[in-house]
Amino acid sequence: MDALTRRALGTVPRPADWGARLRWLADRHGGRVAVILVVAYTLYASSVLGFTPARFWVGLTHGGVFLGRLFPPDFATRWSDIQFDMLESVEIAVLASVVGIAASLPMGLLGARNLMPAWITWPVRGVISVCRSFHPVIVGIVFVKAIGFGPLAGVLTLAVASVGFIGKLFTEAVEEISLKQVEAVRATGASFPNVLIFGVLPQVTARFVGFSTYQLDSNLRNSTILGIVGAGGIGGTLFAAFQRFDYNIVCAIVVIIVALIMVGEIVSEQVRKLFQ
Amino acid sequence: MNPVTLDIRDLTKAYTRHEPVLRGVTVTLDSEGITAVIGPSGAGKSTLLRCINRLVEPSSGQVLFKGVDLTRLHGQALREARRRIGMVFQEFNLVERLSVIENLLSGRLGYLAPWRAWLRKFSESDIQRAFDLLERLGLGDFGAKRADALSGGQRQRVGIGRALMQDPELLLADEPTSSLDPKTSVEIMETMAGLARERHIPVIVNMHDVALAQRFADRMIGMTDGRIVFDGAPDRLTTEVLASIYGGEAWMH
Amino acid sequence: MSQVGTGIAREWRRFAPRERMGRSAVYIATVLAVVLSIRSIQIIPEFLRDTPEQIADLLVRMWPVDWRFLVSAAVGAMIETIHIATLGTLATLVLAFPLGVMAARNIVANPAARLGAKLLLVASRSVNSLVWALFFVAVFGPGALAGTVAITFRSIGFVGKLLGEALEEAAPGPIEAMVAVGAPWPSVFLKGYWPQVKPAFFSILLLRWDINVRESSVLGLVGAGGIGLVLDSAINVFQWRAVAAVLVMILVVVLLAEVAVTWLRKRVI
Repeated sequence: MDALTRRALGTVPRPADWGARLRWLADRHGGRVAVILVVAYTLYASSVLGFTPARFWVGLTHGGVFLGRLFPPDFATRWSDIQFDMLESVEIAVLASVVGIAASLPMGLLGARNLMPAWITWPVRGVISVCRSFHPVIVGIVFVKAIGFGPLAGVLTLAVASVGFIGKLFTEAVEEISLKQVEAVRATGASFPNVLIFGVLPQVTARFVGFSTYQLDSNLRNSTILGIVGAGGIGGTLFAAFQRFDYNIVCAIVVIIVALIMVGEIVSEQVRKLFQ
Repeated sequence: MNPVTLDIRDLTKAYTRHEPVLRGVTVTLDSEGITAVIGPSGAGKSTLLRCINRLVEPSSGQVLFKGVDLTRLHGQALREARRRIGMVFQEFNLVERLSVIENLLSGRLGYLAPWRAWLRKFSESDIQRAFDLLERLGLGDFGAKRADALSGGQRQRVGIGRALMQDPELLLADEPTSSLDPKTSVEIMETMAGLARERHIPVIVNMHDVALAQRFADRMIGMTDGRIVFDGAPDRLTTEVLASIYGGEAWMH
Repeated sequence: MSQVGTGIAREWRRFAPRERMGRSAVYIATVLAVVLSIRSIQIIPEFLRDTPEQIADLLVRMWPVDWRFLVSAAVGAMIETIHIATLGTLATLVLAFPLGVMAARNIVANPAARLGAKLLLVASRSVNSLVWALFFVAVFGPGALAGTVAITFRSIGFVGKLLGEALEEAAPGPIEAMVAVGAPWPSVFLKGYWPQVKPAFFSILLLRWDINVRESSVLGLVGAGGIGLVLDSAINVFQWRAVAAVLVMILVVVLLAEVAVTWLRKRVI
């Protein structure tokens, strides 16, 4: 209650509860303080990074010129290369997704604390955590250096990324299930696999499909750029075109990538609906 | 001589060292018929039931099911024993995303290999039995419906059906009517008691509602504070006995 | 489904015919895609077999980890990375807001405007932040400015889309009440929509910040500032122990960011 009411009622606020005091202050002034902090940070960080209005202005003029050089997109000149690399990117995404999804199902189950003992869940969760902490590009670089250039590095990279993403979310989903349903299946004398199949999985299948289709999209996006570090696909061609200042080809490649991703999103949506 | 159906000897369960939930419970169950366990919350009724099929691990004591000590079993042997004991739950505990027919068939999971369970390849006779049971339960049109589309009473009927699909030799019911309205509670008790008598399956049922228990039970067991304090016919349940079980008379008026 | 009547065998089908066709189609398509991919992808089987060995070899070369490298070269770049991620997310806050609002079905009536906003959002999402970085390095020159703008452009699509969806899910009741009493539109928005979407909005922003910290760490590879360049240089001269140190640092920062996000979500939202 506010100070006025309190005074009217004749009660005096307890002095020593700092937690409550701070919360009250935060509620009252939090919004304003937050805005001030944000603005202050923006100014600080901008100066640390060397942003000046002059650089923006120069950039904008460059930007105009750059845009002009992008259009019209040139599909023809390196069409066979583009076609081959694009297909390779799709193949990388498909294989990585299949491997990743297949691996995530058991990993996710093994990481669930309501199903498995701690000596299993801790290492599994640790592995999943490491898998998702690094950007796929970084993982790609490491794989390329370890096993060489080419699509194999790309497939492994994205499989690792998939396990990291799906594994974590799937484990969380499994930990949220109703154990009552599981208990009932156990009571019928079902074996552990059967308990999983009939008691656990039906509760989480829809979400698993959702995560998997999302990851398929994500893999499609990432496979198009992994080529920049040599892991196969259209990324390499894109990067090379950039370095040659062949901006019309760059534009064509980006257009194709965007189109591919949009198609991927539509397909994923359909698959998701089918498996609800 | 055939061994008794259920012979519980000195069963104790303590979650923490100083608070035993079951204190040396000893009781035998031989005939068919409905045995109702009544008592206040925390008396140990639910724990007693769950110790029988070992959904809860007893701390000590024996549970002899037709001569076999269930407390000594592990792994495959335990599962085979569980197959012979059906259980009905207070909150129905159906797998909500599965259809009614799948829930019924899940009673046969103790007999199915995992790959068959995955592909839902139940035997033809199992499937026909499930349909028969569906009709018998008055749910003939609900087979393909998802379990969470059913009302409470309908769900409990499926729960009873699932337990019966196991072809059990004993039926445990843990507060099967506590989540249902009075009218549906009576219907469920009629369904369960009727089907169990038909198939000569003894039933142990926990209940809050003493009147309902008296109406359907052949034998009543009163528990308080982890001990059995009454064991006899329903008509011997006098006010004094009830007072000793539940403590205090105020609630009875 | 089941046919009632004695003597007639009853059938149980788990899925309706159309569902089954659809599911079969997906399975077949998946198998086809996998088989075709394996056949045409140029993966040399020997390389595949060697993989565990090669990875083990690499891990051995990363030990013991060279922590001093962090102090001498990497920490500053890491801080720069965090600034890039944060500034980029803040800029997104400003720019994604109008686009998200415009994409919401229940706010903007003009379908052409909505479509336009949606297209911009899709385009922003579909271009990878690394590609945006390439663009902006060409525009602004190498450095953190290109990286920050790239992060912003990539995030606008993500935040805008989720914001639009959150707005579309807002309960119509309070809005109708305000419109009915003739409240001016800014008021309707501030008092009607905003309180409902505020928790979702901040949640989305925090989520995107978390992702951006990870994304910013690689932008340096194409010259857009941050730790990426340091990492790339160390890798190119095969200083694996230094690489390991940088990777661990990135790992720690990402984990801390996640902890921070979880904490902030509980306290603020």
